[in-house]
Amino acid sequence: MWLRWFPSGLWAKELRQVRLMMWAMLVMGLFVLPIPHMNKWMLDSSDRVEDALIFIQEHGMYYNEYSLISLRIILCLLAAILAIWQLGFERRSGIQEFTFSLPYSRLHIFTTKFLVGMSFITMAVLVNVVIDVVVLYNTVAEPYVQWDHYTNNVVVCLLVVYSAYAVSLFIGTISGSWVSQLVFSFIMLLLPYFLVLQFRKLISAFSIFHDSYYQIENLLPDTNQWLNGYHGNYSWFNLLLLTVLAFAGGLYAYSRSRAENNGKLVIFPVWETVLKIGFTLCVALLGGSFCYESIYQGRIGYTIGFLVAGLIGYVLIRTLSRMKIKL
Amino acid sequence: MLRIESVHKKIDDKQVLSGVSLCIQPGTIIGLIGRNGTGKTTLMRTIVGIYDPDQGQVMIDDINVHKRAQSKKDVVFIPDSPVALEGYTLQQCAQLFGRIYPNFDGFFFLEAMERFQLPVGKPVRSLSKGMKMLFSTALGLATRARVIMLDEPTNGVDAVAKKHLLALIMESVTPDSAILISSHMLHELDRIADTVVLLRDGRTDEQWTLEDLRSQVRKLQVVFAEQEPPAWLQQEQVHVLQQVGRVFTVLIESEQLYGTLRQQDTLLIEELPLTLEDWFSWKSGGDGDVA
Repeated sequence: MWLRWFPSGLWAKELRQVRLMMWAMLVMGLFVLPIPHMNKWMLDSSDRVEDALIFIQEHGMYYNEYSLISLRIILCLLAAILAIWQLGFERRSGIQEFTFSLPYSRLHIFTTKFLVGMSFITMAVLVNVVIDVVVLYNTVAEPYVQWDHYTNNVVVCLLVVYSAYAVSLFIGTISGSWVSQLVFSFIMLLLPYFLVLQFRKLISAFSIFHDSYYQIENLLPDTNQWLNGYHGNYSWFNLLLLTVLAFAGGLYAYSRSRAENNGKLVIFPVWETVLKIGFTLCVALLGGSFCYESIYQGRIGYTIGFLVAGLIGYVLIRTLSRMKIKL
Repeated sequence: MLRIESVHKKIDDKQVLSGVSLCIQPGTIIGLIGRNGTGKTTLMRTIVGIYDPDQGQVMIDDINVHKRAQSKKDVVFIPDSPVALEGYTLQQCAQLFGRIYPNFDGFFFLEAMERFQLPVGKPVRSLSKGMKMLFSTALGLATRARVIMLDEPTNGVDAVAKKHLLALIMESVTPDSAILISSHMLHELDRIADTVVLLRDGRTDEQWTLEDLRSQVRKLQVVFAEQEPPAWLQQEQVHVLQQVGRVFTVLIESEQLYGTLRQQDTLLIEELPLTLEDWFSWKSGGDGDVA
């Protein structure tokens, strides 16, 4: 049973493929968590340590000292790179063909990839946290550390990075190349901001729904809050739900993966349609607001800009989606 | 053993496979031939599960390969270049395959590496193209899978090594296993294959055992008495391979045609040994510029 779910051949292949990322996560984590604490509380001059101690005696410890925000952000970034390495690069270098030819189901392969990534993240967080705890425990600041908050932040850090990784992996299952996976991951981060901005322009241009854009803004996911929210008021459930949904979506897409479409922007026709519509709409919104702001104010200016840019966007995305990128 | 039932596959709006049906029997070497772009590699990739068929199925012992991935322990595909293994050393590849394929024969692999004088401690990427093919073919054969598919195994391999490689392939066939080879090197298949399958327009139009092929298709050199080529040559089942003056080299597929030829006014009828290349030129509608 154990061997069936954890076949050594598949694990060996997957681990070997991305083992560098494990070291990158561990080492980069050191630079953003235990080492800064070590510098501040152990290696700095005694005067400065004393000053810092007086400060926290009066004001309490800075939240960001144990919020693990830097660790969270750096690991999210590395987790996205890991996902690109596991899926995007695999499509590029013919490894996916090899993987698909092996006697493992695609569900099995994707689950193994996911578990490898989750193990790396868990290991990177836990190892760095343990070192950090040891460091803090041996400093004069130890009595002032709020360990319950610290623990909460460790869990939040894990859940945020898990969810970012799962989303990146899901994007990888529908992207046809590492370039498109990279671009889509980046777009996914910026899209909510872009849409809020563009809807604001749209509302302004047509002078309707005067008070509504705040409502629209509230409806959109706050990616800033997701990845680097400053205060620890995260819903563990929401983060877990996002991870599970992204994993399930990735599993579904990977099991239906079409290796013959590798190199295209997206590998599923249905997602190609979504991409075409989405891209055309975004370019049209951008064109509309550009024309409205810079060329001709008013509804007509916006509409002309919207239509012209929409047409250009459609032609562009249609051309791009026919190409096979081999980078 | 392995049954391919009416497999269809479309790639980039082009119908690459349009109803491939094939049965691979144990103990045989099957040559898969066809001109460029007829879908040989696509067929192999579909058999092994890299591509999903749009229609049809691939069965091994009545188990659908695409529905039960574990059955692929018995089906191995060795592509024309082992790009996926470039980061491994030869030894590490053997270890990896040993973990994946339960019947992997490490002794056979090492012996083959010695035979080809390949350094097992070196990374695959450091090998020449020919050496890579020798290595990956030996690796595939060492899995002892029941169906081993080799895509252009002799690509870039020098004449001496090719001889060893073909011998190795022939030695590796057991009564329980079969080897499917896609190759443009028809004279090699001529030497080692038991059966040939011709892929044309994405269909397996013709499947012959080489024995049957040689007994049913005749290659003849004929010299006609008259200057003008007779109407006999215009028949559908007659293929003119070459013409030099009044000397024609023809292929015919029926005994009846041979009978009618003998009634023609001929100066010479001589039977020549049929090669796979002759037959391929005929069937693929080509001019000898084949595969």
